[in-house]
Amino acid sequence: MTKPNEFAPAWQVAEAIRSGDVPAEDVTRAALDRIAALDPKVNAFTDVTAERALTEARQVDADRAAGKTLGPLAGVPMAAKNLFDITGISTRAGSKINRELPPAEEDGELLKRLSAAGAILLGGLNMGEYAYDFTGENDHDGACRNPHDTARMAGGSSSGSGAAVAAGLVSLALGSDTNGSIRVPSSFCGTFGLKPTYGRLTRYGTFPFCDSLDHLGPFARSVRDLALAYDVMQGPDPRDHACANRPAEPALPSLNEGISDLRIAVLGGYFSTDGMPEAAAALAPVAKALDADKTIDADGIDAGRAAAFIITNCESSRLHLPNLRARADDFDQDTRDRFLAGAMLPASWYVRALQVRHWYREMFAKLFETVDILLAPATPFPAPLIGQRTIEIRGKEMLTRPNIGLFTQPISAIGLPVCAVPVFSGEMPLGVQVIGAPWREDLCLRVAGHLEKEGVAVAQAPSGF
Amino acid sequence: MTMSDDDFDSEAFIRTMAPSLGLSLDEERVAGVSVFLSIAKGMADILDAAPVPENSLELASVFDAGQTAQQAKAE
Repeated sequence: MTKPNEFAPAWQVAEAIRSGDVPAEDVTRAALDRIAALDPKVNAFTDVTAERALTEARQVDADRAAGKTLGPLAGVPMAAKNLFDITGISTRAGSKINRELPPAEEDGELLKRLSAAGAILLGGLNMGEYAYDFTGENDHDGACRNPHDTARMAGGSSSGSGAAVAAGLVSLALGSDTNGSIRVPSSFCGTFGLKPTYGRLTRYGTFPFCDSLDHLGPFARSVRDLALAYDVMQGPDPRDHACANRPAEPALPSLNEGISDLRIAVLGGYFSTDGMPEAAAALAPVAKALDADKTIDADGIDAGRAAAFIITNCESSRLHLPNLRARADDFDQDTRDRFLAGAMLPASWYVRALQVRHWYREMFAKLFETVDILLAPATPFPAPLIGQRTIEIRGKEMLTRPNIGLFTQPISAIGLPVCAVPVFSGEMPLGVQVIGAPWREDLCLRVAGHLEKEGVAVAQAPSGF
Repeated sequence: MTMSDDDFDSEAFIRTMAPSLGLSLDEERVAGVSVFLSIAKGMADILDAAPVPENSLELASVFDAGQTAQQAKAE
C-alpha cells in the first residue's frame, strides 16, 4: 500500500500505518500542516492539540516497532466538538462563559475509547453556543464555514465536526445531536454522520445541552469509518444515567450484507418534499437505489417535533438559569433570548411534551413492525448563506434558523438511530436520513454502505482543499 | 379547547414570570424573548391537540427508585 492522501478513509490510513507504509508521525504532521494552512478558510478548529497529537503518534510508531498489535484506528487523525472534555482545555461548549471553567482533568469517555483504538486527537472543534444552534454561527468564535462554499453555513451545532471532516482536515470527528446537530452539518457539508439510538453511547465527560435528548456520534467520509468508530465507542457506562446497559453490538461484521432482506420505505406526509426541489433531488436517487417505492404517511410527526422543541427549550434553560440571571449579556445573542423564553415555560407544557413523546414512540414502534428502514431528507434545503435570516420553503418565505431542523427533530425526539448520507445532486450537497428502529444502527449502516457502494451517496472532496 | 394566539399576551406573561425566576429584563429583551415564547406557545398548542388517550399520564421519562448516581458510579 502507498501513502494515503488527505481524503483517504480512516480505515485505509490505519492500514497503511499498521503495515509500515507510513509512520503515524508523518500522517499527524501532514494533518497539522493542513489545519494550519486550510482551517482559516473554514474556521473549524477552536483548539489544536499539536504537541499531544505528535506524542500520541510517536507512541503508535513505537508500539509498532515493538511488535505490539495496533488498534483499528491506529494513527487516524480525529477531532472533537468542543463540548467534549479534552485534557488540559476548558470545555467551552461554544460559549464565552465556559472558558472560565478549569481545564478538563481527563478526556471525555468516547475520546478515551477512540484513543484506545489508536486514533490521534488533533483538537477541539467550533460549534454553536451550548449546542442550541443549526447554523454553525457563533458570536464568540466566529462562523464555521462550509468547505463546499465558504460563503455558506456549515450547519450546526456540530459545525466544526462537519467542516473539518469535509475539508479533509481530519478523517474522523465527534459531534453531538439533540435535535439534528450531527445530521444537519453532515447534510450541509456532505459527510456521513451517525446519530445512534438514544442511550447507546455514553455522554460522560461532555458538557450537556438537554439530558432527555442528547446523543453523541461520529462523522466520517466513509461508512466503514463510521462503523469502525461506532463499534469501538459502544458499551455501557454507569456514569451516564441514560447510557443503556447493553453489550456492544458491532455493526462492522454485517456492513457488506446488502439490502435484499430489508423492507425500506420513504416517509411522506409531514416529510413530503413537495416544493423543496433540492431535497427531492437528493431523496429520489436514494429511494431508487434501494427500491423503496412505498411511501408511508405517519401520523403525529408535528406533535413529536413539538415535544422535542419544548423538552429542549425547558431542560436547557434550567441548566443555564444561574448564568441567565447573573450575566445574560455574555451569551450569544442568538441563544440568549431562546434560553430566557425556555426558563419561563409553564410546567404543564413540559409534562405534556413528555406525555406526547411517550405516545409518539409507541406509534413509531408500530410502524417498525412493517418496515426496517425509513428514508427522509436530513434538511429541507442545502446550506444557506451565512447570516441568511429567511428562506423559501414550500413556496413560503420562512425563518431559516428554526426550520433547518424540520426533518431531523421529529426523529431524534424518540431517539431513533439515523445515518445521514451525503448526496450531491446540485452545486451543494444535501443529506438523506437512513432511519432505523431503536438499537438497529447496524441496519442504518448497512443501507448507507450499499448507497456508498452504488455511488449514490459519496462524500466528495471540496475544490480548493 | 385551546387558547388562541390572540388571547396569549406573551410580553405580559414574561413581565409576570421574570421576577419569580430572579430575572431582570428590560423592555428590549422582553420583546426579544417574546418572539421565542410565542413560538413555544405554538408548539404547546400542537401538543395539546395531539390525540393522546384521555385520562392517561404515561411520561417518557421514568424515575428509577433503585439506582442513584452514586450507586451507578460505584458499580
